[in-house]
Amino acid sequence: MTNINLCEKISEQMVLDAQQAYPHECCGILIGKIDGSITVSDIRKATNLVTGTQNRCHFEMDPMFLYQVEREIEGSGLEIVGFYHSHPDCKAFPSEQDLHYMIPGLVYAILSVTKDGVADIQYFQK
Amino acid sequence: MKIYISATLRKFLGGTPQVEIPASCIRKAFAILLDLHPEAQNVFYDDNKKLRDFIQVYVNGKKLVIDTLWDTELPADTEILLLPAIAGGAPVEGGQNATVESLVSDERRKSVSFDDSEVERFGKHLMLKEIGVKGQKRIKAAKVIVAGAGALGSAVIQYLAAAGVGTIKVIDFNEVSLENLQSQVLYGTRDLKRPKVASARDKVKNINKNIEFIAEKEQLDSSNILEQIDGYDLVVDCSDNYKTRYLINDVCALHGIPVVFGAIYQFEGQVGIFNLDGGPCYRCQYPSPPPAGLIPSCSEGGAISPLPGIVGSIQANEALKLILGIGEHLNGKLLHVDSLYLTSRILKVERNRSCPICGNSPTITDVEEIDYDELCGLKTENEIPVEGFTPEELAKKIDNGDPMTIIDVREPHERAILRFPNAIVIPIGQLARRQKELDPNKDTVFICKQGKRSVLAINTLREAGYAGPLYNLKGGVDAMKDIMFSHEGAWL
Repeated sequence: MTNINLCEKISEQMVLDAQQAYPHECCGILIGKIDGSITVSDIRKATNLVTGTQNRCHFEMDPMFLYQVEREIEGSGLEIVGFYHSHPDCKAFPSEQDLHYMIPGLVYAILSVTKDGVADIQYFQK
Repeated sequence: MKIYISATLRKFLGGTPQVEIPASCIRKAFAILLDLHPEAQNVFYDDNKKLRDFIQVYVNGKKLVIDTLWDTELPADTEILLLPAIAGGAPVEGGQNATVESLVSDERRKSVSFDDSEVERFGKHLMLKEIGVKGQKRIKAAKVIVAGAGALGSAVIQYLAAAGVGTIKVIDFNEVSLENLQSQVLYGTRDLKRPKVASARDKVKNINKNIEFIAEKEQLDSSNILEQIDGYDLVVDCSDNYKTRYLINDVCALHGIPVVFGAIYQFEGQVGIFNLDGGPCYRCQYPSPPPAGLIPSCSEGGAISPLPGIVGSIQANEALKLILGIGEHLNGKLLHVDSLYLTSRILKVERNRSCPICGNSPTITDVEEIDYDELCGLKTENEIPVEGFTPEELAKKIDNGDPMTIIDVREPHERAILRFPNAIVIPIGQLARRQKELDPNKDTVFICKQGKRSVLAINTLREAGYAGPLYNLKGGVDAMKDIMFSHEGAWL
């Protein structure tokens, strides 16, 4: 797996999002640079499109939101390096659905969150 | 057309954000694009050459269902966005160590108590460390619906009652008939013509008079189902038809009530659990029912007597495990049992992200919006109505010696039970090919067991271009059984 550099400020933002969304899943985009290693320098919170009780255990992002963020950072030298989402009351390990939708080469951060806060953050790549 | 490629997908397609492709439709545009970048073939298409569901296609900023628009001609200035679906979920679908939570809360468990006779009665449960006193109290506190008191229901109702489930509601519209006694072990000869739910009540009260038994002699439909299931922990689906199965699935998916599903056919059976903890629903596995009449139902296809006992017992066992919160269960799985060769397999059922009922953006939010007759192809108003004869009308024509051809589309084993004299046997699958055997100047009458497959046969033949007059025997051979003919005794 590629080396991932990410400052504390970034993980704090993800942790906050996961805690606020609990007991539902949060999701967002990781922005930074890929050159040998991956550096995350910014995140964008996204809306979890899943409605009803299903959003305690599933998430889906609006592809048009991704498109907007892509257009916005165009030419800035930054790029989309991956995504993050939370697993409420579950381990920080990719589910089969997560693996199904992973894009090769990008980094996926998974936050394990309970009512007491974020217990674990793990990074995965396909 | 212009194609914008998301940065996340660009590395598979040469790295450029936007390409201009001279093509008139999306299928052609993708073909050209993938010819240029053959390494992207696997990213875009699965092994069956189907576009992978994580590729999202937007046309002029609007998401479109790709199947409907693959080959639609689009103007040259159309802008296509190629974006990935970013989705996933927590690992809840029954992993090795997935904890199963009991459907009955601790408060409800604590609110029940046992007397001495119950301690004796349930001794064998109390001995098991997975059940014990706490577990048995959960079973007593549980409220379960058994939808259908037929062959599967017979096993499920008796075992749930014997196990001590405190509240059991049985919903069934039918009365006991002689043919039920081959497999519906809840009933005996004395129950003939009685409502099934009434006989079921007697049986359950005889097992344990303290069980609260609710008998509903009602046909489930979209207007009454919600009221029927409200307040219950679990539905055990023992129905024998697609209409009820989809109705139960849909309402339970919408209201978060798990379903233990079971079905049998001839020598094979299936058991699965749907709508549990974000797991898949029945529609994820079977998005729509097969066309009416194509697959004979259990009542048309038959089943070996002990099979529903096997399948129903597994259903009851799964129901108890869910109530107790123990073991591994069939959430997100489908158990397939073949009693003829004694093999079984567990198939995985994936949750469908775009399922209309439990997907990420459900389109069905109320069962009253759906016409279940239409869903299951039980309505024929959009087709040319099939003309038919009643058994009496056909009998009269036969008596009169009217010239006609009778085609029997039943299976060989059905014909062995009841032969239809002077009928030509043609299976539905061969009709189109063998239509030359029919005389378009003569009436042709189709017969089957219940008058449903014969309608399918007539429609098949019409689609194949046959122009002669076609008739259906209404109600099939079953309805013709009691007809007597005037000459030389009975025809049948």
